[in-house]
Parts: sequence; structure tokens; C-alpha cells
Amino acid sequence: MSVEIVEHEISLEKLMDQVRTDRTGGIVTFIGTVRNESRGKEIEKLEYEVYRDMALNELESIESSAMEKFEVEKVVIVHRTGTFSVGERVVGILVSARHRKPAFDACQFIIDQLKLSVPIWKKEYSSDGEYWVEGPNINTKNGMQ
Amino acid sequence: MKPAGNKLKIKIKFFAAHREFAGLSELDLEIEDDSTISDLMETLYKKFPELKQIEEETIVSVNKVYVEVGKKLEAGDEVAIFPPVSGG
Repeated sequence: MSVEIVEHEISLEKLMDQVRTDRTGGIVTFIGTVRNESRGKEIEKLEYEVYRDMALNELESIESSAMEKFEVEKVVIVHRTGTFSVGERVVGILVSARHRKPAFDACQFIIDQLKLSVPIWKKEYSSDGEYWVEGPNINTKNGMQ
Repeated sequence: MKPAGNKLKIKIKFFAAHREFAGLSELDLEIEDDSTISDLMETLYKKFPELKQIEEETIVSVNKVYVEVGKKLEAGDEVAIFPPVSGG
């Protein structure tokens, strides 16, 4: 399966093996990591909550769209769930293609879409408390998408 | 044929801030036949008044697909209620 929600660490080597084919001329990689500050506050850790079944459906649909839109060979998308400290890898997106441009474009498209539609939420733990991060609100005026 | 006043059994899941405001992560509920998402939300706001505070930030899915407020519910539906997503 090329989309996954996991608890364990993200191994770049393993993911690269998953996307590389003999037709591959390059692999573009996005690794999302925990940053030490957010909105001027020092971050101690991030906690992720996932609606697993729906998240997997959304990730599969993003993967299919990327494969249709861009001339790429293979895509893997991995998102972790759990609690992570500064520097830890929480998301990995790898795209292989014959040429670099579609690989870069597809990788950008995938992370942008992931942040819009995949039901995953993060809570920041900082020196002054805990906050759910408000994602981009894609609601209509009715309060729902 | 369904008798009048039939009830539908559905499952509700709450995530993130909505889970905390509701004070629980799952709930089995019986609602009136022909209920829409709007009707369900009114029922939930009565049951969990704190959820009303984050009404503007509420997103709903049914059977793992994003839906609009006018969507009619069916027996066995899995409804999820959550804030705008913030993965990545």
C-alpha cells in the first residue's frame, strides 16, 4: 500500500526503495518535521489525532489525483500519529518520475492537498498551554464543506 | 414500507476539539427518520451545549465522505464531527 498512517518512525531508505523504478530519473522527497516554535511560542511537543479510515481514503484519493495530473512513476505518502518532540519526522511524501519537474509539482500538490482535506489534527504543547491548531477552514457559510 | 415516526440508529464520532467539547469520542444515537445533518446538529447542541461554542468551526462527514448540512441521514450511518483539519 502506498499510503499509510503509522506510529513507527519514518525510514527514508525504505520509502525510497518503494518508489524507485528502472524508469526513475529522480525522487522528490518532502519530510515534515516538528518545529521548535509556533506563533512566537516555544513548542515542547506535538500530538496528532487521526480519523484513520477516512484519512486513508482521502490520502488514496490525493495519490490518484497526483498520478493523473502529473507524469510521475510512483508515490508514497506516510503520516504518523502519536506524540512527537522537536525534530521528529511526522510526514513523508516521496514521488518518483522520469524527469524532475513533474516530481516536484506532484510533491507540492500532495502536501498542499493533505493539509486541506485529510482528517488529521495536531495539538501544540507550548510553555503557556495546549492548543489545537486551526487548519485552513474550507467550510462554506453553512459551517460545513 | 417504513411506519411513521420510525427512528434511525446512527453512530457519531467526535475528533480533536469537538471530542474535547463533547466530552466523549463516540456515541450511538437514535434520531427521527428523514433527519438531516442540520437536525442532528440541533440534537447534539441540546445534548452537548459546549459544542455550540465551536459551531463555526464544525465540519461533518458521513461514512467517511465530507457532506453538506442538507444531507439526509440513513440507518447505520457513521457521522463524524470535527474542526478544520491540521495535519502535515
